[in-house]
Amino acid sequence: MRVTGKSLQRSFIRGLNYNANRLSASQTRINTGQRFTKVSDNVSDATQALQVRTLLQRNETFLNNASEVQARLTTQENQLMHINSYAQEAQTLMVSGFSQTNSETDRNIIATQIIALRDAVIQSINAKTANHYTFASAVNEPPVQFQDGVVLVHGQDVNNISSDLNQSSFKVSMGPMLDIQQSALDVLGFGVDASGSANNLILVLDQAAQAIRQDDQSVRSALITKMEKAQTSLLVRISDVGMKMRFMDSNIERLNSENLALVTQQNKLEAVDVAEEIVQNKTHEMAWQISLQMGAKILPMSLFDFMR
Amino acid sequence: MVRPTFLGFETARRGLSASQKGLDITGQNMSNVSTPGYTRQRLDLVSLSTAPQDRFRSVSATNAGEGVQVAGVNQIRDRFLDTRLRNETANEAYFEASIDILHSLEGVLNEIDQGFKPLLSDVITSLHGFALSPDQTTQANMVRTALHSLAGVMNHTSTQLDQLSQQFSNRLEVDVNEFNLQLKSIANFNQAIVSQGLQSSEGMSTSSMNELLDQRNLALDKISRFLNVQARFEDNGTVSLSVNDHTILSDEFVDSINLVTSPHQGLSLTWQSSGQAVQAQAGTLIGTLEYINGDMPQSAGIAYYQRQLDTLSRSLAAVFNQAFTNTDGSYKTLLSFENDNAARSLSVSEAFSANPRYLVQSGGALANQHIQQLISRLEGTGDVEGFDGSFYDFIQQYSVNLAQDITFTQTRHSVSSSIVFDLEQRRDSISGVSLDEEGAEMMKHIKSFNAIARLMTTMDEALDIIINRLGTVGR
Repeated sequence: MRVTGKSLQRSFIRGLNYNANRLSASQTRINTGQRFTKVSDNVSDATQALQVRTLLQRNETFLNNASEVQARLTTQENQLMHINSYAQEAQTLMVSGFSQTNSETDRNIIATQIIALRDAVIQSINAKTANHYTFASAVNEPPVQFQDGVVLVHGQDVNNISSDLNQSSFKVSMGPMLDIQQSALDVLGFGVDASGSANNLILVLDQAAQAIRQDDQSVRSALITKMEKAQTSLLVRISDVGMKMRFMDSNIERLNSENLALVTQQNKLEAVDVAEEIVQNKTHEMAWQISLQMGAKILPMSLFDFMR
Repeated sequence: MVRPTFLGFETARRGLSASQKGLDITGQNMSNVSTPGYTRQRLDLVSLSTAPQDRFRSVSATNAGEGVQVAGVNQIRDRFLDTRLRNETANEAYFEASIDILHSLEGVLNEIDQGFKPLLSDVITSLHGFALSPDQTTQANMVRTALHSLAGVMNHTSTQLDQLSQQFSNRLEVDVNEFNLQLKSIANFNQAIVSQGLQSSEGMSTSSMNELLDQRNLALDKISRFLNVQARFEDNGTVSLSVNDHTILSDEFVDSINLVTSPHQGLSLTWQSSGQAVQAQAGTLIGTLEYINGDMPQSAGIAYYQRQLDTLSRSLAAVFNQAFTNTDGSYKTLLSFENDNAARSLSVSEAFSANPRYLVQSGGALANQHIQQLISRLEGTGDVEGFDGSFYDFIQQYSVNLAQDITFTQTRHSVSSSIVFDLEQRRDSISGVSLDEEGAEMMKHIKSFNAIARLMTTMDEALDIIINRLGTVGR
């Protein structure tokens, strides 16, 4: 095959372009620190990397959710512990208040103390974390109002409520969804029992105070039983929050380790191995320089360079 | 059997003339070593004999030794190689045009540096925050801001795709004009070649014939980049051209291409003569047209990706606009768009844009549920029009399709490019000028010239003997 100057030149330029392209691509990888800057650079790795990025962002959102939920659960637990201690104290006061050895003054003092505990319970149930009412359900407002011996939960007389209106839950996603709903109705009770007396803790405390003040022994055992039930229910609620907090902790741990795994995977997929890339870059640079040198030596040569 | 006295001088004169012409042609080749389209030329020399000859020997020695005759100057060219090269050039040009558009598309839709997935993730993150405090204006504002960004980038991307379409349409128009011009210039070369042929048969100069052929070949090379044109060389020296059996150049007939824009079908190329659509498989015109108009997954061009953005915008708006209700039970409009160009017109609704409190919910579990349902719909499957997957999957699918299309087209371009390179090298090995070879030719002609000049001297000496020295004995 005849080899002409033009074919040598074409061949040289093709080789030079090839080497310059490889050098330029390597330069871009070093400059950006990324193995690819477009999906088409490496379709399979880039596709995986995009998925990993989405998972990472989801994980970070879940972790943000988790820290917010942790704060809310902590407040719930604190307030439930407070309400439980108020209930315990009130029960002790009720036992001593219903004792027949008490004078009227003693009964009035005990009744007043129980009323104070009732108000403390109302305060706790209407507690707020940042802008969120801890035990609000349908709307974010103080869930409980106590007026003229009637407890209103979100505007409804608690005695007229036969079932929890707020079966709906307040869910937060951390991968699995966690229901952090804890309504005032769940915590304090609602409706009336078979004998028509209120189940709600505030009303029980109110009735107890009145009964002690009036020395009405007929309701003694019913009220003490209700208090015991209320405390049991509170303990169930507290343990429920405790379980959720444990669930939260394990989830945060899981999310953190997933995050670590995802970041590692992302680095593996996207980040340039600098040492390896520099070695390759030098190889490409050398090939490019050799092409240039060879071109400079070969291209001008012809028979005329040797003619006398 | 008498030898003419001055036969030797005539022989030497022809030899000198042939050597000088040889040097001229070598000079012509060397001068045009870098001229695009130039085909190396060779002097056709034949041994001159005016005497009748039998099969194996001259029957008469009287006219033997009459020297050399310059029979002509020929080009060295392989027509089959030309045809193969032009066909493959059309393929290479098709892939080049396709890659150019696909790369531009990837620049606009690149999900690695920016893109819609991170923006959608921002929207979902803002919704998670909103789900925790649905009654908070600040959280509603976060959602509004995230939606503003998403809609803004969607508008910008869609506008960029429109601009891309416009830019490549302009280029297509330029290419169509260039194709028509090249076709006309080939027709002009045809006429000039026929005219030169007639002059030659009438014994006039044909010195520029080879140059005309070179220029026509160059024009054929150029036109084959636009479309895969089939050339047929006629006996009268002209070339007829056709595209997919449609004759575009023959004798006096020259067709041309019109670029037609219709509002529904986009761009199309039609023949001026018949009004029929141009049917071809390769060339920049076809590559550019297909990737501007391409609206199907198997031929995904700018129009296809514009449609994907429209689908994404409409589907997002549908999900957001069915998430929250007004007090009268009607849905709140959070995102608005125009049906004709959803992506370009997608925006946060006026009501929501005016006041983030438009989105604020009562703050309880019910609002939380609505927001969680919205998040589930955004992350789940089945809410993107005509697509069985999530919004993320949809975005990923079209980006990956685009990248795969680029990789596939690059591979095919690379193969085609290698074939073109190989064919160009082979054509060059036949038709190209080699300075080494021309140097050797130059030395050959100068040696031959020197030798014949010496022959002339020898003949002169011989004649001198005959004229001046014969019969001088006893004088």
